[in-house]
Amino acid sequence: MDFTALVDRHYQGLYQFAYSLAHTEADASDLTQETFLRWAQKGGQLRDSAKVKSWLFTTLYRLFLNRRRHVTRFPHDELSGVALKLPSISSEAVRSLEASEVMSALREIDETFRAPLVLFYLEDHSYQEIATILEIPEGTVMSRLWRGKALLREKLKDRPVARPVSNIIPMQSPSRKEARS
Amino acid sequence: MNPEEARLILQCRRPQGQDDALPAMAEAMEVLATLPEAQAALESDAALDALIGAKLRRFAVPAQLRHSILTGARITPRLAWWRRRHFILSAAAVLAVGWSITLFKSQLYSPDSGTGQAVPSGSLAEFREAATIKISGGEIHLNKVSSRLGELQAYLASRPQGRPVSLPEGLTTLPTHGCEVFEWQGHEVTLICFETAEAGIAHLFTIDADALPADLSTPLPASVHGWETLTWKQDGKVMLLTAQTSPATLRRLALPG
Repeated sequence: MDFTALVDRHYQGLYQFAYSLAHTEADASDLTQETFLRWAQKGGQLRDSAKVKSWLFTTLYRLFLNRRRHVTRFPHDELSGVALKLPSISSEAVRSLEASEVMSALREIDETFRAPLVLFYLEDHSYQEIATILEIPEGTVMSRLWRGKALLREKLKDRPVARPVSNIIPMQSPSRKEARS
Repeated sequence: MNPEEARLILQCRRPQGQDDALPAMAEAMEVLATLPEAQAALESDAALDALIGAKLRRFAVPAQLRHSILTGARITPRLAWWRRRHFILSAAAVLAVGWSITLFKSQLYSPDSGTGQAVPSGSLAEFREAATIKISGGEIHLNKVSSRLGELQAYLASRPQGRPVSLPEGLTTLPTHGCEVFEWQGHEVTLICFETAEAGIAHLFTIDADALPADLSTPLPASVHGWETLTWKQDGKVMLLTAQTSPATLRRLALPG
C-alpha cells in the first residue's frame, strides 16, 4: 500500500489511541510519528497486508510501554469475576457531551481497562485483534471491555450535562432579593 | 453457554456485524434470541457503545500531525543506504585498507606524518551526501511546522542572526510542511520542506556560500543515493534542492522559465 494512503487511513485512529494512553498531545504525536517511522523502516517485512492495522497498533502500544520506565504487568482477569450489569446512562446524556469530554472521561480510567476500550471504540477492532495487540488472552479482553465500559459509564454519568434553557434557574431573581429585604 | 456468558461475548460484537460469523458469537446470539429482555438490554448497550465510539472518533487530531508524519517518515521506506549489509561490509573493507595505507605511510616517512592529510571539509559532494543522508534516515526534526512559506520565512528571519532568504520563484507558491535549522561542519543550514504535485516532498537546503566554496556558475545536477539534487548559488547562499523525481522536474521546480 502506498505510504500516504496508509498514513491517511490510520493516523487519526493511532493518534486517538496514543492520546488516550499518553499524558500530552506532544507525547501522543510523538508515538504516532514513531509508529509510522517504524513502519517505514520495518513494515516491508510484513507479508500479510491484512495485518497492517494490527501491526501499527501493536507497535504503538509497545512503544508506549517501552517509554514507561516501569511496565506493570496487570493480572489477567477471569471471566467469572465480572458483574454482569452495566450502569445505566441515557443516550441523551452521552449525546450532549463533546468528544473531548468523552476522551477526558476515558483517560480517567485505569490503563488496564482503557487500552482495550479505546481499541474497541475507536477502530472497531475485533476482540481477537485487541488480544493480539495488547498480548493478552481473549477472555481477558472480554472482561476488561466489560469492566471498562462500566467504569466509563460511571465517569460519564458524573459529567455535568448541558440542560435546556428552560430548566436553568437564575441564581438570584429580583423577587428573591425582594423577599430577603 | 449460559445467558451471562452470551452477553459478555456479545458486548464485544462490532456494530457492523463483522464478528457474526465467529462460532462463539453465533452461539451467544442463539442463546440470547430466546430471552427478549436480555436481547433488548444488549441492543441498548450496543446503541450506547456506537454513540460513545462516534464521539471518540471525532476527537480532534493536531492539524500538523499528518504533515509531520509524511515529512519525517514517508521518505524512508527504503532502508537507508548506510544501513544496508553490502555497504557496511564495503565500508569496513575501505576502512581497513585506509588504515593499512596510513600505517604504511607513517612507517615509511616519519612518525610525525602519521596523521596524514586531512580530508578537505565543506565540499559540495559532502554537503550533498549529508543532505541526502539526513532525509533518507528520517532525521528531520522540524523547528516550525506550517503549510505557509511566509510563516517559515518569518520564523527563520526572527532567529538570532537570521536573515530573510530569497527563494526561487517556482518554490514560493508551493505549500510547505515546515522548516528546520541544523549545523553541518560548524555552519548553519536551513531546510524547508515543500509539498509538490510533481515530485512529492522536495527539500531545500540553504547554506552560506562562504561555507561551501564551489564553482556554481551554472546549476549543478547530481544523483545521490536515489535522490536527484540540483545545487546553485543565489544571493550569497548555496541552495540545494532535492526530491525523488527526475532531473528535469527538479530543474523546473527550482528554476522555472
